Amino acid sequence: MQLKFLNTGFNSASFNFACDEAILKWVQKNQIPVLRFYGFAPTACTIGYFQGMNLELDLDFARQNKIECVRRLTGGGAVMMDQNQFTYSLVIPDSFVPKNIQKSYEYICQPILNTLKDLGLDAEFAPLNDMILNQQKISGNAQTRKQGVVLQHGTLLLDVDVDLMFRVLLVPDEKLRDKLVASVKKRVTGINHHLKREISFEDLSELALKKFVEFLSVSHLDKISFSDLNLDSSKEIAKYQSHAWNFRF
Amino acid sequence: MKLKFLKLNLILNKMILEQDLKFKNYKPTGGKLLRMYFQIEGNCIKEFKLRGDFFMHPESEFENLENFIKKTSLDSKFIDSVKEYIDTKNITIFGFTMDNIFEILTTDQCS
Repeated sequence: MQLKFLNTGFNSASFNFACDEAILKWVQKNQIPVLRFYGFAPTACTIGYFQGMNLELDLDFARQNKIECVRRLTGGGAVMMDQNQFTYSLVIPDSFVPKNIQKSYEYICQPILNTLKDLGLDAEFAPLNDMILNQQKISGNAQTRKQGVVLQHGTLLLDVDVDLMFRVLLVPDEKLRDKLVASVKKRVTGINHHLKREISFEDLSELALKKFVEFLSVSHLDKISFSDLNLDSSKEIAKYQSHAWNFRF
Repeated sequence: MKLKFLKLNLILNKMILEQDLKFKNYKPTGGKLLRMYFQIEGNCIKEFKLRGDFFMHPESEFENLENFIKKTSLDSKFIDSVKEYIDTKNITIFGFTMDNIFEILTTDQCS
């Protein structure tokens, strides 16, 4: 298999999702899988495609704290994204992955699980779209399929600030906020805690790339550039900053 | 520009209140958190908006499904009719079933 790769480092949420969409269009046209590693800076909140922005996020708090709030192309829940996360996107023609959606989640998560295994962490896939370590969530993933191409992106928690997360995420019942925060603290973890050291984004990128290459039996790996993706126009970035997109539901 | 959108949002929220829509949160066992606005008159679904952290493939069918549900009579054939529509359109949903939607629309047990 041929694989194109790019590491875009830390960028805004609107840039990152615009980049995912540009890659999706590129893969639809060229039928070559693209893997991207990236991070989020400044801190952002993303909501799933079917969520209501007003229902999920404290938009006043987000505005006051310059937290960008962006709707994803993919379903799933609201997530706070910061520099303590390692994020990947694999955009791949659907002929390369299991047709069954649940199996395809597990398939694409496998190289991340292999990465963690190399670090001595025995994480597991937890259907539909999570990875867990010692029964605690360490990764959430989401997928969309468009015109024969699968886009799966996911985040691996290096560290997690549950208190800040719940300053910006609204809870269905305010009376249960403290209980919910305590429960999430028990159920979610970052890998640094288990490694008992801080792993850098670059070290993790290097190892994860090796594991994706092995798992996908990549024979030809090369880089893809922003100009190849035609992202200069920033039309896609404007979409993810627009009210029309972010408040569409 | 942002202010204009915020005002629009406030107007929309006010319209929702004026329409006297019901709002319910509901999390099916093992499913995703559903948040629904709706208005029912007899067997007729006058308004229906579904939000939540579920997955639906293809996403582009979401609004069509909402509209189909809105046009479907809320009776004993509701679940089968919507399921048939979902099959016809090759829609895959993770996180809820049509039985859940029927339950939310027909009972007051979820808050």
